[in-house]
Amino acid sequence: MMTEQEAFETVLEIVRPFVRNHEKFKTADASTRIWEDLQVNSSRFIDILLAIEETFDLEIAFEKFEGASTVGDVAKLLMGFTRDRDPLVIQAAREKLKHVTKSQLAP
Amino acid sequence: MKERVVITGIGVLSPNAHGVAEYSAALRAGRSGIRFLETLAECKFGCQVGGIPHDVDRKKRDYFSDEALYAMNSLMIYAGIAGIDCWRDAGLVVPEWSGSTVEWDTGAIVGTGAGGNETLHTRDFEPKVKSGHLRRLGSTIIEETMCSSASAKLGGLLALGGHVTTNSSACATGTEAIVEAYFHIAQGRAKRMLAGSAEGGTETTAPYAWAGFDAMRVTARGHNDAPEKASRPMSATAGGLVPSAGAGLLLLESLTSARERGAKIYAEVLGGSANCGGQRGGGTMTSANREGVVRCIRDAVARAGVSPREIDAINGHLTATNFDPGEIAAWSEALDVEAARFPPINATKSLIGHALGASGALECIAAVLELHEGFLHPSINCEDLNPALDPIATSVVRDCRPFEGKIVAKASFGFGDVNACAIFGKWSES
Repeated sequence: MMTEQEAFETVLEIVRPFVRNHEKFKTADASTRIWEDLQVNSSRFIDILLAIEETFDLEIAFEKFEGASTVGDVAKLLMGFTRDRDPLVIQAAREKLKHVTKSQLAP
Repeated sequence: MKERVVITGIGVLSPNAHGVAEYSAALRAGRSGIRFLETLAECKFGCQVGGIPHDVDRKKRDYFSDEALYAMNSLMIYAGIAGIDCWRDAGLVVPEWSGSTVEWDTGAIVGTGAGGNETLHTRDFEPKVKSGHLRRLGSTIIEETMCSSASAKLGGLLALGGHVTTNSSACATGTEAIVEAYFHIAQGRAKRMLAGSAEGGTETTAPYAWAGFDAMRVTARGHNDAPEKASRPMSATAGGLVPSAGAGLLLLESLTSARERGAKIYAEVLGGSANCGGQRGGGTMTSANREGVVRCIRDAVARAGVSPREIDAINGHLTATNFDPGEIAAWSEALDVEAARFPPINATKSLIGHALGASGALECIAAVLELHEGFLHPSINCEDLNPALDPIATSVVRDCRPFEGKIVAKASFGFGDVNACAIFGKWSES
């Protein structure tokens, strides 16, 4: 299980490659809206979902993400998805994510 | 009233140069951009040489954010670099994403031959679809593979609000784009048009892009150990085309608009034409009906309001295939000139290979720089001139020479028996 702060940081790391408003990104909090504030192209929704799946070796139903719009919304979902995961596995996945460069994240 | 159309910006990313100054220097020096490509050798290509713009993996980060690059294949990157260079060269400012100003009077025609289909290979499209893992394709497949991917990207990068589209007519694409953009402005439908073309292909993806040409045996097979000698238009030992990639874009602008903002002017577009030989009279899907070629050149010259004998130089299509002598004969017929008066002619493909959909634009840029700067670039690798061209031997430009001419004709011909011809004039107020 991730803490709220850990989940928040993880979501920011995952959305980082898709952000167009870097000023807003620097001051992002849980209420920051991914599409409107960070100006992430809404079609990248699927890429964010894929990045979460790949990072944590999960399969997530598309519908679970419907309605998620803020960094905090996605962080809460992430906490739920990883609730039963071994904390060491989660830690390793988060570490791996930090070292993934933006270009490596790009397909 | 017909608007005069001038060229106020140029962006060029070719296998032998990046940017106007480098391209001009490479043309004058007769510098080849063709090199041996290990990836082609690994795939057992007959032709293992080609032309790919240099160092783009590093340069692209000077132009695009990671967010933008996430959804850009090489076609879009090449077009994007040339488009941004062209915009800046014209004295215009690339807008911020956060701005709200749209250039309502500026459009774009950015053509391509093969489009962004390299993305299907780099993203394992077929295995993912066949195994039902559709979601794993991610969100970018369509925006990268749609035929209009490059024009769409540039429309956003430059906040264009006019007619933004792509054209595709195989190897005539680039010249056709410029001709079409010329009509847009001449007819008062736009103040400015970004016009030209791009063709994708990196060392990694070139095998996919070019395999079909190798299969057709239309590529040069005899010079894998001497890449710079491989592209041999007008040569007795011409053995086929050398494929290449890159992008060339010009900013076409109404003279009124150019004057209003005090823009520098490279040259004037005097006229142009595009047609099809109907795949009759010797024309097929892959070869030209000579009457179509002749009509296209004549129509372009007539629309330019000049006499055929006023053409001072020709930048040929000249692919280093067995059509080269036929092309020369078609120029002679269209311009109604005997061999002794045949204008100087050169083949930019001898230096940069055949950039397919991008070729017309890269070669039009060569013609425009020649007019603007007063030189004719050498056509290399035709020291052993095809004997059929002996009557015009002195017209074949084999060493860089000064040029004081006022009008240059450029034509491109493509699969589908399609033709395009643009007539460029040295800039003068009168």
